[in-house]
Amino acid sequence: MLTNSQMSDEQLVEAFQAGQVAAYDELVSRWQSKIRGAVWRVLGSTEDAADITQEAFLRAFRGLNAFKREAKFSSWIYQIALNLCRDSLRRKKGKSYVSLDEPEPKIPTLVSKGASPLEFTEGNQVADRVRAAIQKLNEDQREVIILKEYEGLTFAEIAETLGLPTSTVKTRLYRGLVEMKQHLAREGVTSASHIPDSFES
Amino acid sequence: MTSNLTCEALREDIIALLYDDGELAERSRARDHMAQCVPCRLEYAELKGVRKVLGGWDVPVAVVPKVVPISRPRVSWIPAGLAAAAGLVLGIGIAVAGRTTLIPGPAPAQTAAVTSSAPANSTASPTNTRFVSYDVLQDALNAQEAHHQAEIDDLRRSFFQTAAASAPAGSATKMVSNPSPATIEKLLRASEDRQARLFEARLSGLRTESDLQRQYDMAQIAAGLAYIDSRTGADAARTSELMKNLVRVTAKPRDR
Repeated sequence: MLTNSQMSDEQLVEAFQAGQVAAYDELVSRWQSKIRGAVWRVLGSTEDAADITQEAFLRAFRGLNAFKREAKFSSWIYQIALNLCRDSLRRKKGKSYVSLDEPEPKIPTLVSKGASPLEFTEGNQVADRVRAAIQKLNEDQREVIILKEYEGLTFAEIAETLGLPTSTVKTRLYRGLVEMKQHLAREGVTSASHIPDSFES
Repeated sequence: MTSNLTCEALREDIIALLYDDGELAERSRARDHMAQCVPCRLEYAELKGVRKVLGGWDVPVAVVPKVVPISRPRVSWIPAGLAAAAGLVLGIGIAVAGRTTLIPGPAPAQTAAVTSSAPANSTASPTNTRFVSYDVLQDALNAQEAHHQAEIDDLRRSFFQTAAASAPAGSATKMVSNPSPATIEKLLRASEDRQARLFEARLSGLRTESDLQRQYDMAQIAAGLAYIDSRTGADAARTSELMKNLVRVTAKPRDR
């Protein structure tokens, strides 16, 4: 017999639907960090990230009995969280807020990498600029870039999460990256990379 | 070099190659195309560079705190099984230890094992737990069972005697030691009648209580409405007065 931590998401959902409520705890502990990180990247606020993540898991809890196991749990929870993010952004549109998170705490992200003081400062500057550039993208491109770059979802998973064809996901990703390149250039961040002389087919 | 139209049509394939995701054919197409197309190769390198920069944006630890288990501690089947086994062993141990105190005199010769280093006949101390043979244990259990059976019989006898003594003479509920089915049925019916009467009395009490509560609530609501009416009237008068003042103040001097 498998323990909850050994079960796949699908098995946990099945167990929950069979009345084993503790299976949901495992799903929460498995996904809450990822969801919170994604929400934070979309909204840029620690407080909102915490609230929306909590709300997303609450909604998932309420709806999990009716959840059809054709979709992945991860796609579904991302979908709920992103819908909540969109609602939040819509509510805030036109209102100006001063985020208490500005600037974000920076120490933990670089200390762990053993960066030198110079790298530390430069790294923080780059992070701030990336963050600013991503916030300038439109919502659709931002979501796709976050899900792909930071959450590591496949094109198919993103398509499932956002309810789009995979071709649209790739197009949005392409356009988002091109825009990011321009925003980063305006922010003074060079994104040059080694240009291959040739491609062997 | 391929035309711009082809380059545009191959963007999705280039993205597939950039992320090493999607179908193999897409990536092969992108590679084939870029082998001949310098602008696409350049764009590919730039997008790769953008990806590299994006990688420099980590989520701070403050945003994603370490996950703490939110529910009750999990008990996996292995510890649960061990606990059950331990409980069983402990239970048997206690039973055996209990039984040994019932066995008079020194331990019998056929004792299978002695776990204590103390002498076999020192049964006074509770720490001197001994393992006894199956036959001895069986005898002790039989003796204990006979003892319990005798106790139960005594209790039953005393119960019927007490009940018979306390019941009024000729009562329908008179206790008999060996009641017939007809008597049992009669007793059951009497009990059901009693329950029904009790239920009816309780229901009636609840109805009265509920009526009283409703009357009280209605009175409260009426009082609340009267209060709101009076407040609204006062507010309306005050607003009207303020409006009059406002009109007077904002009017042109010749209109005053």
